[in-house]
Amino acid sequence: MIKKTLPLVFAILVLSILFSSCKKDRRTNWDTELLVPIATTSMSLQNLVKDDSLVKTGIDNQLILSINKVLYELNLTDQVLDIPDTSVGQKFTLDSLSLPSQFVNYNISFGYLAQNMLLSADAAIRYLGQLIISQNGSYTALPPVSGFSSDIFQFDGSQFFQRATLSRGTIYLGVNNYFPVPIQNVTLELRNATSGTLVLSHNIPYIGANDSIWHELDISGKTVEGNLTIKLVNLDSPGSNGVPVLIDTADYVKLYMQIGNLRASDAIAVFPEQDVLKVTEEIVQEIGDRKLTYVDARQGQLHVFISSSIQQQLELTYILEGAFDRYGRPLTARTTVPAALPGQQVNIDSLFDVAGYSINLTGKDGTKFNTYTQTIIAHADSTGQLAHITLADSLNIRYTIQNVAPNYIKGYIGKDTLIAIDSADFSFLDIFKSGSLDLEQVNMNFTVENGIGVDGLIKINGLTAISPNNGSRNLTGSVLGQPLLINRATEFPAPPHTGNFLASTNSFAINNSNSNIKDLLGILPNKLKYDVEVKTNLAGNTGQYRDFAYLESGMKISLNADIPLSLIANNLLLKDTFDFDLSKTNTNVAGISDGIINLIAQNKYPIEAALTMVAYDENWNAVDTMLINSIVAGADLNTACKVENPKRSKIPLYVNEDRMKNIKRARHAVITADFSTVSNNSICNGQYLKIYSDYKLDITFTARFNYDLGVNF
Amino acid sequence: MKIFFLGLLLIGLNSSLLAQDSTKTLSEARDTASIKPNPLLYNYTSSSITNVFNEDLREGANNRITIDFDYAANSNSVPVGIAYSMIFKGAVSKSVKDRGTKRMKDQLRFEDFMKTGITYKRYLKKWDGFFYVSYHHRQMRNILAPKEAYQLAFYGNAMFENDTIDLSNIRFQNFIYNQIAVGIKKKIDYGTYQMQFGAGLSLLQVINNQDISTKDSWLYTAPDGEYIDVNYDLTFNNSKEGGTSFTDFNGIGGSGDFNLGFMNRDKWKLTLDVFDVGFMKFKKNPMNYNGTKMVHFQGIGIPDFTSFSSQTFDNLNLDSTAKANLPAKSSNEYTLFVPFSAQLAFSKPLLHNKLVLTGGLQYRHFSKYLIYGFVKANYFIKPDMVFSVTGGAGNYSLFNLGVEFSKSWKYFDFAVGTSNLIGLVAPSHYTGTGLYFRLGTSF
Repeated sequence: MIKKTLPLVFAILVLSILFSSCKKDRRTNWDTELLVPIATTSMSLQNLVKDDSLVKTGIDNQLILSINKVLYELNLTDQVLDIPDTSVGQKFTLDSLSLPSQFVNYNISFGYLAQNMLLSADAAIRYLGQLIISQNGSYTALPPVSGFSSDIFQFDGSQFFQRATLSRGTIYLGVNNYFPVPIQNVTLELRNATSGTLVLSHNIPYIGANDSIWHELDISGKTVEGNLTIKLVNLDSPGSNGVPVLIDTADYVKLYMQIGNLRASDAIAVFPEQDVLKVTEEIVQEIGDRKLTYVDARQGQLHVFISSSIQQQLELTYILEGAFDRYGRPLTARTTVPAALPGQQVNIDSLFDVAGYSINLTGKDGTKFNTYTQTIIAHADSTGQLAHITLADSLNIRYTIQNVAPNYIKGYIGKDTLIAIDSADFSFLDIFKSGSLDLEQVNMNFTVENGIGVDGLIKINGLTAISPNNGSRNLTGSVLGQPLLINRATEFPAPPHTGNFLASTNSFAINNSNSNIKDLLGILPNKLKYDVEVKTNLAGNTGQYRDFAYLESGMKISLNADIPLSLIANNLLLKDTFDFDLSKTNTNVAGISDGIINLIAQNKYPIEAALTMVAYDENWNAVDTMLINSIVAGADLNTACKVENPKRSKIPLYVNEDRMKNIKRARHAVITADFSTVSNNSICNGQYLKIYSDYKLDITFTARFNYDLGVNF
Repeated sequence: MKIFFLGLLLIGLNSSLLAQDSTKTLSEARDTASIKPNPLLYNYTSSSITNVFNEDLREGANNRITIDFDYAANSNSVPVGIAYSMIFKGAVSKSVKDRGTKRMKDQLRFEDFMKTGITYKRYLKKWDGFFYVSYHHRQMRNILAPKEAYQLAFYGNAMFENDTIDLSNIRFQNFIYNQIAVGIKKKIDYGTYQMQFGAGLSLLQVINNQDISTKDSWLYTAPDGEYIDVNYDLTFNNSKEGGTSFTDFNGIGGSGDFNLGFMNRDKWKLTLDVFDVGFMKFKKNPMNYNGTKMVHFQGIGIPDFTSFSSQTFDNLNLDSTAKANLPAKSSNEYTLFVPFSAQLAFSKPLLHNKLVLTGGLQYRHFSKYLIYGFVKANYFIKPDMVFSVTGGAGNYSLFNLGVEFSKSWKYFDFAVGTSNLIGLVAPSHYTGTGLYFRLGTSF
């Protein structure tokens, strides 16, 4: 049995050796004690305030805390540059439609007149007719004649209109008498050919031989037809008064007549090509007491709404006078209004972009403000077709300039009073929760940066420092309520206006001599509450419409503080909470059984710190007090109260496996540091200690720990 | 490969057991052995049993399969318990470390090796010689280092606070590979005297290798560990970064084994063996660090300690920091010679063949390795049962006392022994150890 099983035992032994030598998940391990630096960091004031720009270096390498805080910023886009929408609407009727003028010429020859005389019932007239015909070409004395009439003249204008009731109309009548004798008591009648109604009856008292007359005859309110008859109701002549005159039957009287200046209130007509409407009007925009002469639109629309019942297609043109784009092209909008069907209306709704246009607001004559000038032209092309247009027909046009946001305005911006009551973060000192900070000097400036072309003044009505731990403190001193003049910004030569302007900067100081500002910072504020008042154009329009504002223009009130770091600190308490999670840290801490973590500080600040650090689990239960009032000693001062060499401190933290487990359960940590300026040199006691740029705090974490070193051979 | 190896092993075992069962004549086997003892001067002339050339087949058998295991370690100072811990992935106790420190004068010397595998050998009647093929898993380590380096490694640097540690002239070699060998052996009979020669060629499948050497190197630990200064002149070649597996093929090599023997039948025998003459070339995943550098380490820099968060600690990776301070990493192929070994042995039967006495010298090509001289006495308790005692001195551990027991049957034989009994029994106290065994079947 033994002989049988013995090989198997050895085989198993072989296998076990082979397997054991190939185990990859286990390591050969042994305990070591390591002493290693883990981490190092260098802290300076820049780290503490978390912003390099807050710390400047003075000429003697003393650090200066430099705070530049914008307290209030006025953006003029929402104020001065706010231009409300403006609309204009107008109703145009047929009264404004014209009809074409009509001309007619007639020559009545001496021979034609004689032939008609022969048909007269009056023997004297027949005799005269006989005499004229028989004496043609010879000199003969002609006797007087009276009561001659004729019904021979026709006026055909039906190709232009069938009928029109005229709101306005004029007949221009001219007669040239080329007869050898005067004519007198010439009476003419103008009648509608179809209805026979009298349009006009006119008498010409006398026209000398080889003379002429010109009469303008009003036919307003008349209804005229396209076919008219002109009747010579009476014609008299005094004869040649016994004096022989040359009888020539070719001599004539020329009658010419123009029916013109026609405006119809109701017409069935072929309307000619015409501007139905052409008006230039001003629109005044109400924008408070601002009086703007010029505006550059960076956005905006021209909204055109047209309603027409006219049975004629119209071409509407809208021109915003004085508005040009960057290429000098005027702002012109054109719209076609189709002919309306009888009894119906046509509506047109169009939107035109006015962005990029510069608009003059000085009206037609250039002396006004806030005044748009617009020209509206409604043009009708002749269609050659008869159309019926009545007084009831109309054209409604509404233009709206909307959503205009300017890039630039010029004029008189008006008087404004801006009151800013608000608070601003002042959060570099609030990291300290308690204690006192005595600063040797605080130089603070209120600066107003004015990017608007308007004069003004600023007053600080109040300034209060607010500390979450030490209450609040108000600014006192002569600086309060004192007005400060603000100069207007300077506009660079333009156009084109490219936004080039130079903001004016005005500031006034708040310091130890005119206020208690030092006390305000002494309470370690995290906020500054301010009450600032700004007034513009106190004296009215002294700029003669030279005020201006760009889109970028604004008024910025800043607080600039230079605080030389010369201080006395007593128990300034810094308390900070941060995430602290070592559970996933890739530091091979699994192999660490116990040891000491040393915090080694090389401190060149003349400030001592007492550190306490407590670790908490995710439910904020304390799991370990890692540091209790552990002292990082402040550096020693020389006789000039200056630090030459850093001071070394070592703070050990004992860690064993149990403690490590606790620490690895931690998810949060709270560290408190109590800072006080040192008093290790009696010469410097009670003095403000200056902080120089070469001061820093170097911290190195080292660990002396037992480490279970594992090696996989 | 591992599965294949285990399969062979089990097949071998199974066939061995079946063979015995089938004969059902243990007494018969013993009788046969008593009639003609096992070849004396062929199977009992080595310091251990891992010499494929110095064993013959049982008379009448043409084939032989052996499974063998051989491990040995020795040091000038550290107990081999440390080596055991390395092999079996165990803990190194403080007492073991302390004994090493106490014994060490100024330098640590350590070497160990392990060889285990299977061999098939066949007698070629026509040629009157042997052909063999074998597969072995092998490991070799060699460490030379200043005492302070040993203390730094096993105690840490805390004990050297405000002190400088000399880390110069460290030499560390680790070879883990598989060896597939084929070879021949032939004996020529000149009448009174005989000569045998053998040769084998091996293909080496490299699993893992580290080769470290330093020149002018030191480490200074400042008080409280405020900083550490390290100066190193380092050459570090590694076959692969990270862990390796048994099937890795991170390098390839070849080696040769040679044997020359002279004998007068069973009256005496003189053999000279040279093993592992070869090289390894690491070309698949090589990693090299080579350079000189002075490093001042004060911890991982935290840019802004006031912005403290849990992520602050995520950067505190000392491993990566250490790597960052290593010389520039490269991936160049490199080639190493395999540390060869040689043995010269003389054997003579005494006491009417009840005792075979062997004396020999062994050499392993490691730095400062002392030639190891040994005497081995094989006493035949029965013709098929041998007890051996070995005494030796040299290498790193100076004195070794070994024992061996072997037993054979008709088809089966085994041997188990140690070249260092003291270290085997008390590895935590002694600086050398060894264990070997062989399971063989002839048919």
